[in-house]
Amino acid sequence: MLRREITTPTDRLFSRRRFIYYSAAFAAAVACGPAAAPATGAPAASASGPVQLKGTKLNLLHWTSFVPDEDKWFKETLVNDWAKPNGVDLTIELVAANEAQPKIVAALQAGGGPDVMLLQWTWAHLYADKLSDVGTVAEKVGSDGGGFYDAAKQNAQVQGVWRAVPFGITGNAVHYRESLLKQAGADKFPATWSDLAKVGADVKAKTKLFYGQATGHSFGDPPTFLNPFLWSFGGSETDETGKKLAVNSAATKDALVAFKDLFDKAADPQCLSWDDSSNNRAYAAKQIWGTLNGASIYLTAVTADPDLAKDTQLVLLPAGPKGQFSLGTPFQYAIPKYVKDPGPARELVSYVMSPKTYGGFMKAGKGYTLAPYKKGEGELWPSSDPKFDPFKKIGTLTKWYGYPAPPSPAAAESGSKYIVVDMFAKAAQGDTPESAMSWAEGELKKIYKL
Amino acid sequence: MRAETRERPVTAGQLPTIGELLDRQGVLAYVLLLPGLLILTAFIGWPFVTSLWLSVTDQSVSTSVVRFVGLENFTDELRSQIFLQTLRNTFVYTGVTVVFKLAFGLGLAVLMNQSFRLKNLARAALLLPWIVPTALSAIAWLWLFDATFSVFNWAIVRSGLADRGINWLGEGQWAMTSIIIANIWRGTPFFAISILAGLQTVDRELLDAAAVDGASLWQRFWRITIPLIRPVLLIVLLFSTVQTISDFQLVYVLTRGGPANSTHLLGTLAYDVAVRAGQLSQGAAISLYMFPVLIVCVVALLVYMRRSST
Repeated sequence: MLRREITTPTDRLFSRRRFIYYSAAFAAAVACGPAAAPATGAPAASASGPVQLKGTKLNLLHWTSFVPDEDKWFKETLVNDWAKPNGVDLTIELVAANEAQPKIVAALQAGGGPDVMLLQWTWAHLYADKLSDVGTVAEKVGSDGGGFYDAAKQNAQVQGVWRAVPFGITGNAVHYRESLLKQAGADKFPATWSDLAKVGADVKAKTKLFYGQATGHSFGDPPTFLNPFLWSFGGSETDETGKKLAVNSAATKDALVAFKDLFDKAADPQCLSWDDSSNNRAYAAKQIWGTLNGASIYLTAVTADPDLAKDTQLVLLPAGPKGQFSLGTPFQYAIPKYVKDPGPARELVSYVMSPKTYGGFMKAGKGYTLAPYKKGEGELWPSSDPKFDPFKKIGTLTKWYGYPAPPSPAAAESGSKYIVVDMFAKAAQGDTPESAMSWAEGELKKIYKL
Repeated sequence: MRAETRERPVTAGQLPTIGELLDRQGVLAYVLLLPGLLILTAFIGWPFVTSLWLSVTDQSVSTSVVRFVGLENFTDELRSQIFLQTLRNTFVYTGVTVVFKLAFGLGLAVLMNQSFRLKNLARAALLLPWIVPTALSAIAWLWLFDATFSVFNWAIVRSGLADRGINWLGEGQWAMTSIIIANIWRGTPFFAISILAGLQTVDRELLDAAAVDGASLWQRFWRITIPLIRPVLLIVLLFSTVQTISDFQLVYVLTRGGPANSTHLLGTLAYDVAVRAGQLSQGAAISLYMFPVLIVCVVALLVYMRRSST
């Protein structure tokens, strides 16, 4: 049998066959490149000896703070004071708070990504199976810091195992303009929700400005306002055990009625679309007279608008019939199980969380992020500004998603789905309290599988 | 160019060389198809099969052991009011926007098909909403609809039309209206340019002949132009339906599904449930509810294209 080949001189130079050979060779080279490159990972830590940091690569996933000096501290101070002297190649990835969760979920599912990730809320309970036990670090940090606040511990400890190390709490306080309150005849911020509705109506009538509170789908302000509102009337998603739904109750109804009253009299329907930055912008533009927020509004005003800062006072949320509550936004450091050598990551977390380092961080951030341990409100307290004093109580006062039950994956899921936020939003939009409660109960039944 | 012909004997049972294999058109065709197939398999086929598998399991970010649960995730969702509301939202959003995009796109295409000064510039400008990345244009819309700084509200109040502006993103129906407006703005150029391409293939002699026979402008448009561009219209409609029903970015940037879930679409709800709440299987099931609608569109498209080609 004869095979026949027809070739031309050009074919010999660059035939389609050669083109495919070269393409395949190039593709193979590209595909094999990273795998063939020598590994530059961290040297294995000895189980008994000290952790070897020199030559280690670490990737830290952090949120972008509303106070830029906090980000600067991580990118400059942490790198210069810890990473460089220890020979660690530290990469700090900053992502917006609302965008952190997709990155974290993707990394955990893919089994690769950041060595240390900053979690929010009760996410440690949601991802517990995929997070390393960081008990040794957490216990030491807690003990050095004078003991963790209960909420910080609840959020990070899952069934007795530390799945994360508490990093901090972004405290919230009502920022309000004293001069406008006085114009309406009030000499101090109302201590109860019903008084806030009355005073808010007066300020609105007198100044045309409203009390602006975000109630949209956003990670911080809506839940940190509405959950404490619900708790302060005795309402909750479940009972203390977390095994029985309790949302459809007289207490929740009272909360919804009171919220509708407050919303109609003192707020504005546009708040239903607000996210975490909307009230910051509105307050800075003097479109509202009061709002619950982290200290970023005040801290920004101090430099950007000193007159506004001078007129701004800070106070904790008013109380309901069952007391005063708060829900600071908690953060924790977690080390995923996919990190083969967690030693360097633990060293990093231990360094950041040691009271000495953390004190410097708090100072840089001017107290925007509060320590998760008690020394934070004592010797480490970074501010000499008396307006900041209400924040000292946040650590003790703050609760967690799912309160009064212990945190759970279901409570975290409910928070992620904005069930409580939407229940209040529905009431504000005109749904009856019964209808809003029944809606929430239906969704919670599915989430808690009860 | 001179071709050399060489012949070399091949003994029976000898395996052909790679070069000889590549000279066979059947083999070469598959080799050339391979990169495309690999990309489609890796980035569309595999994720799709994975989501099918996920949707019949109970996998969440928090579970390491996965159980097969059959259609439980699908039936569970039917008991969720958020899901049912989302389903309604998705159909309203898709239906309304596609109708408006078709009407506006057709109008714009007819306009752009006329001769006027700066026609080319106008055609280029028309494409801008389509070219600008959706996330960017959505941020621009966010500011336009912003509760405090909306330029629309500023105009409404300044012009004396109303004492106060519209609560664009804070009230359920207005929020839906807002995302519909933004989607129509973004999607109309796709219709306009595609239909314009169709209009330019319409033989002017046919229109002139009809005009000589006394057909009015409207009759010429309706009886001649529309039937001739019908294939383009159908394909554009189907493409747009597929894209709109699976929309995500616009809603995610403007409302994140709020207020109180009144603008959640299947895409945004699936994201919230799977990524934010960590319920991967439920999220997969929600996103697969789009599948029957999309498959109908795709089958209709394929059937139509096959008929057209025969």
